[in-house]
Amino acid sequence: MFNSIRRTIAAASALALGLGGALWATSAASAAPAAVPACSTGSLAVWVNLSAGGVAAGTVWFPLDFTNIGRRACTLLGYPSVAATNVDGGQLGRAAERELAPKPTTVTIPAGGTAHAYLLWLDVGNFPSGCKPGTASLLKVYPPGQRSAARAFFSLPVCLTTTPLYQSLFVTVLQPGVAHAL
Amino acid sequence: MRTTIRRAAAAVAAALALGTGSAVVVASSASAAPAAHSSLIAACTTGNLAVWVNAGAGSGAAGTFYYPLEFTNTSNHTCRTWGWPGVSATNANGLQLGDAALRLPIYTPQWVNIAPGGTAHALLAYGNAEVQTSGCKPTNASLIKVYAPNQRTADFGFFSLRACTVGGKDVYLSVSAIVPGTNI
Repeated sequence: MFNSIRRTIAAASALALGLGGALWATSAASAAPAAVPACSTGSLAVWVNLSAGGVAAGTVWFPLDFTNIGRRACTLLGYPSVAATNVDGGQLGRAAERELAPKPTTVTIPAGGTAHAYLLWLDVGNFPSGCKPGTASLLKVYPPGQRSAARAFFSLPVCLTTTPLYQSLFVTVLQPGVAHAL
Repeated sequence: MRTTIRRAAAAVAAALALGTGSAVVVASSASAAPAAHSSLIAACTTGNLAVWVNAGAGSGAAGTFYYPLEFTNTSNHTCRTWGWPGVSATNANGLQLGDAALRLPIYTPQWVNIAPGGTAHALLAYGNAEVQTSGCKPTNASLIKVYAPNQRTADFGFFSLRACTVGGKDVYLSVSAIVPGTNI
C-alpha cells in the first residue's frame, strides 16, 4: 500500500517536470543504471509452455515461464514454490520438490520479457498403487521471496497421497530468457 | 553456459526490438503500403510461438470472463502476424469440445511484430453463462488449441475451465485479432 502511494507520487512528479520525457531519456542512457527491483507477484504472469516440453527417463518436463507484465525490468533469484491445485486453489498432493542444479543466479526480466524454470512431472502411472490420482486445474506459483501466489492453468493428474513416495512435481531454479524448444 | 549467455543477450535484444517494432507498426498503418523492410520479417509460424492463457489476469462479470491469450515468440528472430487466431477448447486428447471461438471485432487487425522472447496477445472471451445453459452438457476442458493466423498446425496451451460438449447452440468462446503487448 505504501509502495503504491509512493509510486503514484513519483509518477505525478514526473508529469510536473513537463519536459520529463526527453530529460529522462537522456539521463537513462548516460547515468549508471538504478538497482532493478525484485519482481512482485503482481508484475508477473506464470505459464506452462506446452509447445516446448519433452520426455527424459520417464519424466515429462515443461518450461515454467515467468513473463514480466509490468512496465519496468525486475529481477528474480532462486526457486519458485510450486504446487498443483483444484479449481478453487486447494492444494493437491505434495508441493514440487527442488531440483538442486544449476546454481541460482539473479535473472533480470525486461518489461514484456520472460524468464523460465523447468517443471518436471511424473505421470501418475509411474507410481505404485496408493497414489490416488486427481486431475489438477491450476498451478499455484510463489515467485522467489513473494508471499502471494500467481496462478497458471495446469490440467494434468497428480498423486493426492502426500507421503514422500508420491512426489509428482519437481522444479528447477529460475534461468534467464524464454525457454526455447529443445 | 554459452547458451545461457546467448539467451540473456536475446532477452535484452528483445526488449530493444519491441520498441523499434511498435514504431514500424505505426508507420505502416499510416501509409498505404507496408514499409519495405517490414515485409522482410518472417511470418510467425506455429513452431516459433508458444501460446498460453494468462490465468492470473482473468477479469469480468455477468457471465463473461476475459483472459489475455498470449503469443510468445520462442524463436531467435523477430516474426510478425496479422489477424485472428483459430481457437477451440479440447479434452486431454486434443478432441474439440463444443464450437470453435467466434471472432470478436473489438480490435482492428494490424501487423504485429513479436521480438525474440517477446509476447503479443488477443482477447479471449469465455462465456460462463453459455456453459451453464441446459444444452451445453459441460465437462472440464484440458487444453486450448490455437492456430496462429495463416498457420495449418496448432499450438496447445493448458486450459482447465468448463467447456460445452455440444456444438451448434451456445458458442462459449470468442477471440479478438492479435495486438501488441502482454496485457488486455
